[in-house]
Amino acid sequence: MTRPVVTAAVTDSALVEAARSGDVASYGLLVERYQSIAHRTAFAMGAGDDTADVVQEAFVKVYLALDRFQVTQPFRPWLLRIVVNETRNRWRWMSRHRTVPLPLVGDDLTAAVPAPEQVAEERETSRLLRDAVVALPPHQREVVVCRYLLDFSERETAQVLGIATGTVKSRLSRALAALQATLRPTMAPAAMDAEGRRG
Amino acid sequence: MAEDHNDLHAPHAELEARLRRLGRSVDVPAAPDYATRVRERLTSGSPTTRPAAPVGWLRPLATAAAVLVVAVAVVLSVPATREAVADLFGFDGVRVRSLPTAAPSPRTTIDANLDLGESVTLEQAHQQVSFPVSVPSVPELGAPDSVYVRDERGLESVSLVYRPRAGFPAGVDTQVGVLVSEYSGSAIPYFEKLIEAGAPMTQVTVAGRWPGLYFATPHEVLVQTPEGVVHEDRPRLSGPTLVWVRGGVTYRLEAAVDLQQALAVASTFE
Repeated sequence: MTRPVVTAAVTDSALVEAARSGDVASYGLLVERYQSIAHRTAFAMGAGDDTADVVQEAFVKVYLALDRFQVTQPFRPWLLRIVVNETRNRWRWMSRHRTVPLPLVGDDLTAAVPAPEQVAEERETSRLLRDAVVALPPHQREVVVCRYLLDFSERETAQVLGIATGTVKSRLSRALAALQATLRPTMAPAAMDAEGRRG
Repeated sequence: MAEDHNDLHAPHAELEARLRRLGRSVDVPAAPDYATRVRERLTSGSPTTRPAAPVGWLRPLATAAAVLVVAVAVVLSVPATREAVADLFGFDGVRVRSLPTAAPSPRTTIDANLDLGESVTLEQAHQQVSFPVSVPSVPELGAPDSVYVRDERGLESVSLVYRPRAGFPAGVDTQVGVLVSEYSGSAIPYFEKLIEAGAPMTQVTVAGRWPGLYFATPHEVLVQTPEGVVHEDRPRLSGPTLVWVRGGVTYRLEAAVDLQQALAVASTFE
């Protein structure tokens, strides 16, 4: 897929200003700039099969809300917050008991393709960790996904989730403590059995 | 907390590193070309540019959840535009309905046919509705010839009827020169949809601050009450229509006048 190259010299705020004054093309440049992270964010936050719809809706909403954006602030977290909210809204429309889909690369290969022991072990650990992340209470899962899986800074995590950085810290601390158990399977066998999600 | 005994080095350094690796190994499906999709969405059925100012009042409201669950009735003559509306707003929770053009019954000659509610005096109207009733102060217009109030399923409205007079001729099919309708609720979500759909109309600002739309043709209005209930009110005259929102009240001015004159009248409401 070829796309116009976005010149780095054009700042987000300049594009926002242009979009506000009616230039859809400028808004298109902003979309191009952030569509990849927006897509990734929605998917990691649980949008699953609806990711494309969710992200498209979010971009339309962002456009309609541009006047609310303060150009002195970074655009990316503001945009991603709308993406996250749209994901959450979509989530509410569906079964509350549905698990967040978080497939991993190679998930479907393991059975068919024999891998070196070390690789297989690594994959198994990843899977356990993924299952543990998915099983976290939603508030904790969201901070873990933003802070680590999406690798946002603490500050951006707070902005995107609409919570204080102190809250990010405390939720992360609790989540990491819970997840730590999955990294020490031999030390916490009971916890792992209780998880019962290895399949 | 259980982590109090941890050493001073990042207690979960390995876990954090693993979580970051996990993030990189998430099998994210390929992203569509959102830029193209969004451009198409924003420009379908309307010019490629954003509606000209003043629209600053619109977008803040556009993201409010309430806006997105409003049922819309849109009178649109161009099928392509109608589809654009459905495309733009036809997602979860929003129903877009197209109506046949709701022209008033022809040769409406008396107020009764306008179906405006209970006939009252202006004084009584002030007392009977919960919102402040505003009246235009235009010398040529003077006081309204009749006043009506109505409370239909929580939507309060007041109508001011002016017989034809100098500068305000009768519409082609009525004995009414000017009809003002005031509703206790906001029509802004509805404006938003019409504008985004590129419906034929002119965006205006009344008295330098209140958002409005001017239609050269009759137009129903959709009003959302503070409780979130959406009402539609059909047009009563077959002339041009100016709709604007001030505070929590929506105003509709129907009169056979041009935009400038409609705006001049609208800006005198007090």
